[in-house]
Amino acid sequence: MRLTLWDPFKELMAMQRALDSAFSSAKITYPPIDIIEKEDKIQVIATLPGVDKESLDLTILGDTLTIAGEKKSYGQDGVTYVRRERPFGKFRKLIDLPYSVDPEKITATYNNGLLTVTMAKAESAMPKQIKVE
Amino acid sequence: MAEEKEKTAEEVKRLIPPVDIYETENNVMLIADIPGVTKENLQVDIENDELTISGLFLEPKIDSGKKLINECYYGKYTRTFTLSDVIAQDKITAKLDDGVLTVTLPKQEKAKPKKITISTE
Repeated sequence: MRLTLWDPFKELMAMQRALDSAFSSAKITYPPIDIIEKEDKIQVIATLPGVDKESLDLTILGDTLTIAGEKKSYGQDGVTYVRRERPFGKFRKLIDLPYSVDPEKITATYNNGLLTVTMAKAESAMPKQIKVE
Repeated sequence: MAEEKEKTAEEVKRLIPPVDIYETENNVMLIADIPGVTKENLQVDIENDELTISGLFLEPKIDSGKKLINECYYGKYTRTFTLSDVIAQDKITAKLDDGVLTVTLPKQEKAKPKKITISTE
């Protein structure tokens, strides 16, 4: 058996991490998103299980993308719930995009509870090569 | 191939899906939010009176570009429930729609009374 020294800093760090994750998750407004930047486009992926596609409302104004909609609760009236953990209700999330996008070149898909919005970067947000004379 | 798959499954983060469980006249319904899980990556098993849900939702690889914001959780959704003897285990059905798993657990037609024989010696 190998003896290891107790490292109080290691435990403190672990505690810090646990605290960080507890608070960072509280800050996130529903739904959680990922933003991926590609050469000429920006992709926003939101985990949105069980949302009626018709209720989804996506709008873009300036550099802000808004995802709004309603997640319905499936339960019928008068049933006895043993557990009720799934979030439901209306949601609205404003996302500040890191680049200007072309509002004419936006596509959105909803599959397996994932909403994917793909936006083409605006011409002005594309890098341009400057020739040195 | 199978070994490789298992190895990656061990490394992934464990996610606990939120569930709703409610009872109707004939069924017990179990609904779980598992966004990103496809039918191929989902397993619902019954073993020793336990129902286990496990679904894989791995972070898609980005070939070019970078991730600027990461709020979504990726990993393996796992959760186990103990089934009471009221449930007819052979009649359980499950369906997956838009990242929501619905498991229908029908109740037994009749709770069968047990006969106890008393022996005398």
